[in-house]
Amino acid sequence: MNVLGVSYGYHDASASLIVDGRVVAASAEERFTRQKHDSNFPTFAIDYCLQQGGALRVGDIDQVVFHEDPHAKFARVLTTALAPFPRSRLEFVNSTKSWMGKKLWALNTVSSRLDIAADRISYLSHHFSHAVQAFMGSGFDESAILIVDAVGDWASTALFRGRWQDGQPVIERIFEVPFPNSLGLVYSAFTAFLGFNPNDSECSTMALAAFGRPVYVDAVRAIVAELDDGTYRVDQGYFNFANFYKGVVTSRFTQVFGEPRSFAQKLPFRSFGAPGDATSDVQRFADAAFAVQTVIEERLLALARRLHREHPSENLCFAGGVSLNCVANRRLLAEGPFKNIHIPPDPGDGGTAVGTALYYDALHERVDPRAASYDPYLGAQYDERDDIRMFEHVKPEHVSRYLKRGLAPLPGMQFRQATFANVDDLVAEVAGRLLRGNIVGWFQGRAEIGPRALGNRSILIRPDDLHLALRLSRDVKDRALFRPYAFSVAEEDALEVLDVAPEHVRFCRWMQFAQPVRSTHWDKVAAALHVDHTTRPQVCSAAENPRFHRLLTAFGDRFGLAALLNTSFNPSGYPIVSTPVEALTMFARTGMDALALGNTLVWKDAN
Amino acid sequence: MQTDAPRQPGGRPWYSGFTVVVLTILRTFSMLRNADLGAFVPFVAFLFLGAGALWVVNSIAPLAPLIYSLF
Amino acid sequence: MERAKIWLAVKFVWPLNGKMAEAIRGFQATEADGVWHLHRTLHRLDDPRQRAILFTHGLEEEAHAEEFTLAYAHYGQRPLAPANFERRELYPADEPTWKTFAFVNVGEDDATQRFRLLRDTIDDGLLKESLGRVVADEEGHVGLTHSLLVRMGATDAEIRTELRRVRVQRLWESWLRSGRRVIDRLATVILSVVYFVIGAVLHRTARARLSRTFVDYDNNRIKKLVE
Repeated sequence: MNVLGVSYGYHDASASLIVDGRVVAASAEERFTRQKHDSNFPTFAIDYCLQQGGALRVGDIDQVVFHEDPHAKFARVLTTALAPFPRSRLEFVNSTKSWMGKKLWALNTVSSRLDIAADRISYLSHHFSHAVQAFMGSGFDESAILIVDAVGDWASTALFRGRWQDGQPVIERIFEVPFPNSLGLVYSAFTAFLGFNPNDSECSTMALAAFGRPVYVDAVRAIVAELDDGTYRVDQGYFNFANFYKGVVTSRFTQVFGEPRSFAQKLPFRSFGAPGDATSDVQRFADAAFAVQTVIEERLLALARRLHREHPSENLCFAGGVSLNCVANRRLLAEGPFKNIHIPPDPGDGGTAVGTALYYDALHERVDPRAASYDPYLGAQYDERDDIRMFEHVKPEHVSRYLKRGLAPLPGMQFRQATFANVDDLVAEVAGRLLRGNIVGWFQGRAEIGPRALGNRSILIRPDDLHLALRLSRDVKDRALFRPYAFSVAEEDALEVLDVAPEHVRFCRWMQFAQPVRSTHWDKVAAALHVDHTTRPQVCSAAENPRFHRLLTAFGDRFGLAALLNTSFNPSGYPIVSTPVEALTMFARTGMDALALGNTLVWKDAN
Repeated sequence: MQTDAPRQPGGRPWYSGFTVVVLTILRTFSMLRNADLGAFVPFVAFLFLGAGALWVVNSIAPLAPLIYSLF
Repeated sequence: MERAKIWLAVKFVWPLNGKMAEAIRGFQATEADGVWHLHRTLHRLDDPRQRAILFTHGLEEEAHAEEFTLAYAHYGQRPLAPANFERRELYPADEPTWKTFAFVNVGEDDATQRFRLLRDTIDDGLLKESLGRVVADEEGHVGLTHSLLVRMGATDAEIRTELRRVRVQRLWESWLRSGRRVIDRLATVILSVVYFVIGAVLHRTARARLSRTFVDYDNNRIKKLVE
């Protein structure tokens, strides 16, 4: 059976293909269109999936599964637009245009764009899509399931239980917290208040929280109040969730937290190196971030306990946008009632395409739960040889005119390249360069799904060099200095550097949990630590990513620890690079020193 | 010209669009009732009619600037 | 005509709240779109030298996009949120590659002319400097484009025909956009009236519904569009 999963319409459009119960391909549309969080119909992602499935045609697809119930969602959107009458005219007009014009007809769009008959289309409600997304790839026989995001149909948080029965998944709702009581929207509102882009830069709020003080925690606890049943209620007097055009926070909010941050108010905090000097007016932003982060963690723990009471399992599957909060995830793991936590590699909306397709397949074929699990390396792979040959003809004097702003051309610089006969020679060369303080792009194999670079589309440096990390932030990534980096470590060295329980190491495969680092190693990984000495590690096994594991090991033989600072291979404001040409573009324009494309190394020779 | 990626035959009958549109309308009404918003149904029906009218007008959008210029 | 439109926009529309930043966002999206199409075109070429020319061209457009990203942050006083236009292939795969490049370059020429007029119209400042750099870059390779089209295998006659066709198509698309803007205004007016009439009746029901502390209807199951 061939099942195509499709998600689009809000953010992170994506597609996936399941062939005979196995995930053969998945990708976000943004990787093909270079538009971050691209929400349009995923034409290119679908084309990729069909190609990867063996040049399938749409006629070969048995079922297309869509990740939303547009009819249910429209009902909530309309209600939300009318409730603030008479102050919501703009919201009503724009919502109605958007829904009546396009979004309500999503299933017809799927049918017509794919030229597929209506009887081959299925769909699920948004939170149920997340629930199957979380459960299907977990490998658990049974599990509690927690879904927390901005909003689905009528709910913002949903609790489920899942189990396998006769080779088929059974997922049942336990409880839903209704919109507008939304932890996701609260966090996004604070993100907007702090001057970041909501639905994109919540990680900045999370990073900033580490510099805050508990000044506003009680205030936020009152705004997002815990209820006796373990759920919560959001005081709507502080937010304009239903009426974004008037600004996402109200005057009641600004009376407590002050005016929103303006662009001119720079944040002087630094996750590494000498600390910046924060005025009291700027410090309040860090304090606000600290408060919302703390309270979100508390509410998540309370929800986990409520869920555990309803379904006393050892296992938790967690998905929805809020599950990207790796700091909260750490507390869930360390303090929560569940022994095992599975978060899918792409737990946001982009990953629902995989889960929904797997679910449909499993309902119609008997499946071993463990066979339904998948790794993150499902994206497109490219033959870089033609692009390498092209790059031989790229002249540095042409490139030097179009460097990233602020970079000066290197006089006499030449591009060099060498192709290695085998991966061992390649990793030896790259490991040597990393040790010598190069910034190296590592472009290998199939792209990862989800927001994390896990060793196939990564930029790497040695993890102890603070000056190098500064150069990486300034000359390559355009990254705010308060945002910490993270590192990847070979599985064999994980417990040496991470201060975690041995049974928790296996959850750290995909950079989903912030973890403390042992004080004995703070100097060794200083550039990849946050101010609280935590990091968001990738523990890399040879089984899951043999090439990257070899590089880590080769570097470790020289450095004394098989760990590298690993950041995503993307320019600021763009998705992670997908093709060798995009990788070469970023390499050429920025302060990167070298780029490994397959077995070929390209580097800048300044001599 | 702007084109989709090449169409692959998927076996969609010619009347599929009509079927899906009707189903969408009926299921929207059904969802409104499920959500205890039955009072919205006539209103949404009116919106559907309006959307249909605008769809027709939009189909002749090339003429819209001409029409507008007449007023 | 174009000069007058730009003058009117700069003098009367841009001072309105957020309009200038939105215009700059559009410029950034135009340049980023150019990069995307150049990369797609590049992948269809066999000659590595031609690919290298397009690659370098793409670096230039990327640099221009960065100019406008920085300008947006300066004038909009916030970081640029990603654009979200639906990308589409310009031509089917069986059309010659040079046609895509011709289309992209017509678009570039139009954008360059617009940027030149803008540069001459606006006051001194960051955006004027950015536009100055962009225009200087674009003016530098007008002749290069034509020679590259010839190297891609197009005859002069074919190039002229295709460029003419592209210009007609762009005019037509502009006309369609005008039509859609008219429809959009009409829809806004109608929906505003509808809002005040129906909202007065239904808003209490809406508020009551949103104030519920539970979600009773369980919509959590897979459904088929046609049962």
